[in-house]
Amino acid sequence: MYEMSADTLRDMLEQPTIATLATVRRDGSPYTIPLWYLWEGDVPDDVDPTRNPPTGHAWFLGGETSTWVRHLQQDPRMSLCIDVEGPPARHVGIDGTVEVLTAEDADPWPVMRRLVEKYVGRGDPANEQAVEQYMESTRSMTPMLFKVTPTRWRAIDLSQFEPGQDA
Amino acid sequence: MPRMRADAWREFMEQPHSGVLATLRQDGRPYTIPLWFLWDGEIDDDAHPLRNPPRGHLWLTGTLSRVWCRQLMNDPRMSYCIENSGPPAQHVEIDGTAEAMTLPDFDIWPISRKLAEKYVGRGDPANDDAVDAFFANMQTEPRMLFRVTPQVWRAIDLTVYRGKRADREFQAQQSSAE
Repeated sequence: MYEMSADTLRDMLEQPTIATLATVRRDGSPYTIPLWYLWEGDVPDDVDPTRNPPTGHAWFLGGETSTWVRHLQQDPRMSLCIDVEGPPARHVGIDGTVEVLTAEDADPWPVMRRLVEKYVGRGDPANEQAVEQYMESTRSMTPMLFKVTPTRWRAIDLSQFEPGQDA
Repeated sequence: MPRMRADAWREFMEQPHSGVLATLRQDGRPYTIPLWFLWDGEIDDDAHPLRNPPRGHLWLTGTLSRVWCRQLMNDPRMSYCIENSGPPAQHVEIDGTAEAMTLPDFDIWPISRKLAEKYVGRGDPANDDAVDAFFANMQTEPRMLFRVTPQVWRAIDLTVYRGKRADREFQAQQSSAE
């Protein structure tokens, strides 16, 4: 119902929308936190969340003191929700598992730069200095890289529907 | 992390932000979905997420057939994230348990109406007809409510970051080192 077109889905995954990450605690209860994410992959023209889902990975960065990082080290199952309040209201849900990569496994800095370009740069050359300042402020960090392999997708486009329904 | 002040917190809980609910599938995997919420409770002037959390309930509207509703009836543990993209960036998370409230034992319509007024009405009388139409449509559906009892709160306000003591001390250290 209210399936999203491939073009809209590609656009949703490019926009600097802050996503909500859900992880599970040691006791199995869920936990949520807003998060920057990066999508790298392909959305086929005849995309279907179940039969023909996008191929690729979502990426994010975190520090080892963060609660959600400890959760993912313990249990790699997660869900990511990208919600645009609209109108029109649209949302994408990605359920999957996360691979935690240390600096020895993979260099986190190229992902950091792409994240900062996405969320601070926002496609506007006027923000270039802000991007560089932000990158500078991250230099003392030791980011860990999180690679999400999606197992289930949801992509709902309520543009032909009353906003706010819990489709 | 910079905490949210009580007045900002109250204001934040009144705004028609769309939050994201996390529930659990039967096998324990998390599931997420954006949802409306209604907060009914009190936030003290010296509110603190751990030492003096808000008292009250969060209300969510669903239907008997939705995936997330069935999940909550199976396992009431949930987390709800309310995020204001900003600037300024603010977010509140509530971890808790959700109790299903259904007809005829519980009259779901007064709170359902308030939800429609909050999100469709948005405090503008020009939207009154839209609220009535939306509420009438809700009544044609197998609606239900969930009453969330919060157990853990997080409330972060990046607008107050500059005022935080740790940050001031860090800046003082930096300037004395120069």
